[in-house]
Amino acid sequence: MQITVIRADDSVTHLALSGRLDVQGVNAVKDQFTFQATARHRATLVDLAQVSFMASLGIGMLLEAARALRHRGVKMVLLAPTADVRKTLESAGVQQVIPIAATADAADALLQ
Amino acid sequence: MLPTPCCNDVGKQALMASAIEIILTNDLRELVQVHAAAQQLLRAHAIVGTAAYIVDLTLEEILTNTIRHGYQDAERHQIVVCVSVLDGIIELHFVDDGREFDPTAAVPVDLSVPLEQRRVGGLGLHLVRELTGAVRYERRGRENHLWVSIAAG
Repeated sequence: MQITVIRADDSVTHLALSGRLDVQGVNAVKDQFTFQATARHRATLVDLAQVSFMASLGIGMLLEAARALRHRGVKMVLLAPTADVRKTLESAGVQQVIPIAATADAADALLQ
Repeated sequence: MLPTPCCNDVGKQALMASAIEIILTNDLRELVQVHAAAQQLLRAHAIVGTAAYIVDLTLEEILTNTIRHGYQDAERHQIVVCVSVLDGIIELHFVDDGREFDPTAAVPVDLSVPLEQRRVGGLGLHLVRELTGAVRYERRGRENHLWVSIAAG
């Protein structure tokens, strides 16, 4: 599991995750992800297009970051999960608390 | 105490059945080999895509739960997983000698609570119940036996 900072400016933090968000993947990146996502107190876009697998611990990592951002009054949006990852997220009811966008344009609109 | 082999159940001898038995210890680092072995069996049966993903997820969630929460000592324990494919159904059979735990009786996760109250606890079992076909549990002596069925197509 890897994290790439796509963009970090005054308006948004855009992070891309790639690989498996299983127990090993979460252990490998959780601290770095949490820091990258929350330290700047900016609206955060988490690109999931290259995430091949999402377990409950991965969902927990996303929820924790979203909570921290919400506490600061900023939003998180998840971008372009694969069909299987999206099904996992929706089965866990994630979309009810963190918006999921299929495209970058839709994500930008949700972050406003 | 070692769990009993689980691929000898009556019914698994059918001509078209194919099964593997994976023995691991209560070490999360061994999950990689479990996933690889299961996916190899599924590929041999041309099972890919969503069905293979759900098998992967079920293995991850059940075994992570067992390893992290199933034991009250620091000892090494064995867990047995049987993965079988028969007539379009993938069955996972988990056997462990951890504390008695019936996943089918776990308290349902409340997905209606707001973000501030969302917790991960129980979410893995919720996903297994939501995404698989059938889940069955039995306590046999000092062993937990869990069967999960997943449609192959």
